[in-house]
Amino acid sequence: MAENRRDTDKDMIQSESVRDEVIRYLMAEHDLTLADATAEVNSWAEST
Amino acid sequence: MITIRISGLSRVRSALGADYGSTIAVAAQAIAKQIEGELVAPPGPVKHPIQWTTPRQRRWWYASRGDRGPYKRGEAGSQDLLHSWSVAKRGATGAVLGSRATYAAYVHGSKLQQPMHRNTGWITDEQAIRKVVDSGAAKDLVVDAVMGALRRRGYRG
Repeated sequence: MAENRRDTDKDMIQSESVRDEVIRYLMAEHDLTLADATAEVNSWAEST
Repeated sequence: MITIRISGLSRVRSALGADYGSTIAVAAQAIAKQIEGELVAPPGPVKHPIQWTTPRQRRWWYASRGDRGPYKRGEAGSQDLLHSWSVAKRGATGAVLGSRATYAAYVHGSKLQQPMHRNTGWITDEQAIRKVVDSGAAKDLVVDAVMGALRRRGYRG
């Protein structure tokens, strides 16, 4: 069971995208919640 | 004009400092190149019968062809729409995608696209932009540029 969890964590780390890294940066450096950081990144490029 | 707005970056702007403008300009140009990629995707063969907008349009086309026979994409003397695109910087952070082909708006313009080009499968500028935005590709390009700049400025997570 523990091994399965480690494998899952490993998969998650391997699939971590740059987007996740930016969200983590906003949370760590700008004190945003996950929801706010995600919403902020999602607003970065929109068609008008 | 159809545009993509890159916004909501006030927090990273202060972190990027003097690199902010060039970072967003790189992202904007990458987005424009992505849109170009959508526009130049070969749509397949011309669909027959040609759906002319007016009889006058058909007469003009055949008169202008003279004795050259059926048109082939990129033929000698053609403005070669597929290879007519270029991306230019606009302002400190923007980019604009343009075509040298004088008829580009009639093939790709969301307001001017002619029925025969739509039937062939050429997408409009608006469709290309929506595709790049809705797929998340535009955001990813901004994110890549921002994260790259943050790392260059020493951010290590």
